[in-house]
Amino acid sequence: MFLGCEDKKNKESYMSSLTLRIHVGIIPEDYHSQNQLDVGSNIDKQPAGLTFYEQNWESNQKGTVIINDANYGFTIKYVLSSTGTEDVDYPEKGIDYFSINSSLVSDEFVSHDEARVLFMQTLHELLTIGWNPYIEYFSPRLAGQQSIRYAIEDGTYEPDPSYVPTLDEWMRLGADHSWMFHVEDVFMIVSFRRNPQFMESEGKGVYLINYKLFSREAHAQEHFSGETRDKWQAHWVDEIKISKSHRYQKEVELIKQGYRINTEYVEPKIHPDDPVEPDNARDLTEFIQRNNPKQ
Amino acid sequence: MPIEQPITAKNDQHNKTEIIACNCDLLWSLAHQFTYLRLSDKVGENDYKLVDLFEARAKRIAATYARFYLEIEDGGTLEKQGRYYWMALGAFASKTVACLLQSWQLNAMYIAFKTIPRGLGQGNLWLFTDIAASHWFYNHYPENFRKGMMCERKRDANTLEEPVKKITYDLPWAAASIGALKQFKPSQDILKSFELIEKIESQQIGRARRKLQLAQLMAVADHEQRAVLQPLIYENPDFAGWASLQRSKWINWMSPTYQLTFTYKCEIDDAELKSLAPDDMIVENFESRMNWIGKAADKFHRLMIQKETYMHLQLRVMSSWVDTPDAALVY
Repeated sequence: MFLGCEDKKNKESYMSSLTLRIHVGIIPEDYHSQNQLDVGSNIDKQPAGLTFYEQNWESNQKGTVIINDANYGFTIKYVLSSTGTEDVDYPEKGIDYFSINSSLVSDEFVSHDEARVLFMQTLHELLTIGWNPYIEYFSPRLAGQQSIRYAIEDGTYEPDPSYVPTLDEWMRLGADHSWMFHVEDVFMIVSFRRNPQFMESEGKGVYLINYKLFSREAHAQEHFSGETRDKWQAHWVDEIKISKSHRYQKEVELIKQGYRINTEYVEPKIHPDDPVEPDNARDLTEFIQRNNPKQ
Repeated sequence: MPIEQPITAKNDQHNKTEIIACNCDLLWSLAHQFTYLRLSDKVGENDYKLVDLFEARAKRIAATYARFYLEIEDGGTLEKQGRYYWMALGAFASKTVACLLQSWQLNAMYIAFKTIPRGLGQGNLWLFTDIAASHWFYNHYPENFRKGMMCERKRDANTLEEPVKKITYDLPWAAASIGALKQFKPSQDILKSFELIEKIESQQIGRARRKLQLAQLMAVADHEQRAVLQPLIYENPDFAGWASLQRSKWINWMSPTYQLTFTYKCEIDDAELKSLAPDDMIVENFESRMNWIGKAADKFHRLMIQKETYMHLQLRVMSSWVDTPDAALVY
């Protein structure tokens, strides 16, 4: 469950141990002090060089996480856990990756239709406060019902968050699915996972909602592995050229199947050279321009 | 060409040649043979003995998972490293099982609660038999796994070649375990995981590959929870008497919060074992279980992305435990 702004009536409870205030890039000292946590508690220091800052709540007393941001902040209710990641080799970046698990309702079980409505309402409210849909560079730009149709077929494609799937479409999204957003320097993946043992569309299911929030740089680095991660800026243009070339090829294929490409989609600026366009892709982009079905 | 009859040929004469046609049962038999031989020592000509020490088995299992991930297991393909993503997490999890067993052997808990190591041993052994056999099969005969003879869906403990079937049914806790695992009939989750493995193999874009890897890991984790651990452990009346602490120790074996330290070393101390936080009805509550598994997967994924060199080094060390010796004295 999601609330677009803080609930003033419950303001006092935000100071209790049930509420955690975070933002991407928070330094550990602030994380502890503003949440009145003991330094050193609930910390998992992995020898590999990552430190995880964890908070857990019991399922009969779920917590609240407030994403602190003057413009794009929001509140996540019915939270079971929050895990922040800090790379000890880069303390200046602070805790730049958060993963929060929550429920949609206070109970464990919820009807699939109610889950669909509540989850899509959450996404709608995120759009309302200014979060933008994000499409991976290697993925086709689709909108509306076609984005869900493709997501069902592809399995991992993040569909248009403004489109509310029908119950039938919702049930066909499998055991889990994700939607992706960005705003200024923060990126976010909102996903559901559900227990496939309870998949009767008329019945009730068990849902876990996951929010992953991370910095622009953390997102950019995810496009690379090993030592290249540190030099992502130098490799960005080449990598994105490959990804977008893949996107255009897929889009041409999809137009031939009757899909319409959302050419109005605006990419975020992640690297100073953005938007990057692939070499030798003119044939593909011209095909898309010429043959893209009208809205 | 595949045949439906079992193989009757015998290797009983010098230079004898007999043409044998392969079918899925034969290939699955070879896969099962791989799993129990990995956990056995050669004690004579064509004579093997299963290692008794649970801890040694757990270390060999960790080694095998690491070898699958690193593509240094029999039939592996180095260029495809990363497709068996769950295997890397499985290696750390089985190492943790070995560490827990080692720890318990040294204190009174082991004597007092013998069902705990049994639960760990049984779960780990049969999960390994289930998962390592299918990966071995896919490593060697990808053309007959999801395609060709389509053996993926034809796995059945009852139709293994007779000698392999006999040995499989002689393994510890076999009758109950094979029944609970529905004779190794593939679950929807494991079918999905191999579909994802194929997608990973053909995906050249790094970020897209990472997403598929996480999906593959979750598919196997779901399979492991629902098709293996749930029927084998959670719903097994033999383990119903466990106190919540002991049950949660087992159930959280892949939770890094208390046990999973992503290094080849054992880093479990007694104080930690005895002072677990309330585990919030892990067994009974699906929501909590999904939360714990999701958290473990998230942490592992962050480490594999951000600290790949370190993680691969740990896996490399664990991969060398493939011949971990049995103990002279088994507790």
